[in-house]
Amino acid sequence: MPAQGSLKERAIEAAGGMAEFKRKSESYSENLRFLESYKPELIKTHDKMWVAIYNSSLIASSKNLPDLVKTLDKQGVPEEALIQYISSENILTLYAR
Amino acid sequence: MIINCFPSTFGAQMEPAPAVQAYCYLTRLNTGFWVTFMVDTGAAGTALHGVPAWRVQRHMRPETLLPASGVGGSCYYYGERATLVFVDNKQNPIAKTLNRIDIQAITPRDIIASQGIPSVPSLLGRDILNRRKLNYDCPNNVMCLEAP
Repeated sequence: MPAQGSLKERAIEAAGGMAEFKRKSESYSENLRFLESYKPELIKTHDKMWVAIYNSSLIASSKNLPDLVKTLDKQGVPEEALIQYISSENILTLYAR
Repeated sequence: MIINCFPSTFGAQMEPAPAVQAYCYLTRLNTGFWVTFMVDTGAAGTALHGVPAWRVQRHMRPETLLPASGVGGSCYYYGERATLVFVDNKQNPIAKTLNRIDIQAITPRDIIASQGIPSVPSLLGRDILNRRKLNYDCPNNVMCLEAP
């Protein structure tokens, strides 16, 4: 079984190395901040839709997640893009093993 | 080592809940992706739901399926070994390896019922939270995880 340290290194390597890991982390954070800032507008314009946010911009949307993911893959959008379901309803269903 | 949490509504119109972002590396698949976890002291284990669960679904092993039940009903989860990499307040990566992270088994019935993929947030459960000090001071907008 690999040691904890080596698993951490493997994880960071999978993200593209330390510099890339930090850049992607910050990029993902910015996308989250964008989502929360513009959520009221997104609920008005994209209620019950899937949206993709990258570089603090809404880059794609669809009522169907597989279609949205196909579009993103075709465009070569990186993994740190944020994909989120926009809903005017509350999310209540949680599971706990 | 302080991991800052942040308020997130997870795209829905609800009160913000404490959330934390992490890079979730699945050791067997040698691949990772970014996840926003809702901090959930009610969840025994850390769980992936929705998009991240759906995206790795085809690589899951049926023999790892386990049933689960909660306030919203019941479902099944696949299990995988995973390393979660957080970023602390000094921008250093903090890793935590879980022998099993639960990955929601999304069925065709779920997809039809939700007109897509269920949008329940991924959960950071007590398998991680119980090893950290969780400071949740919502009025002062302070939410963080500290090494004890």
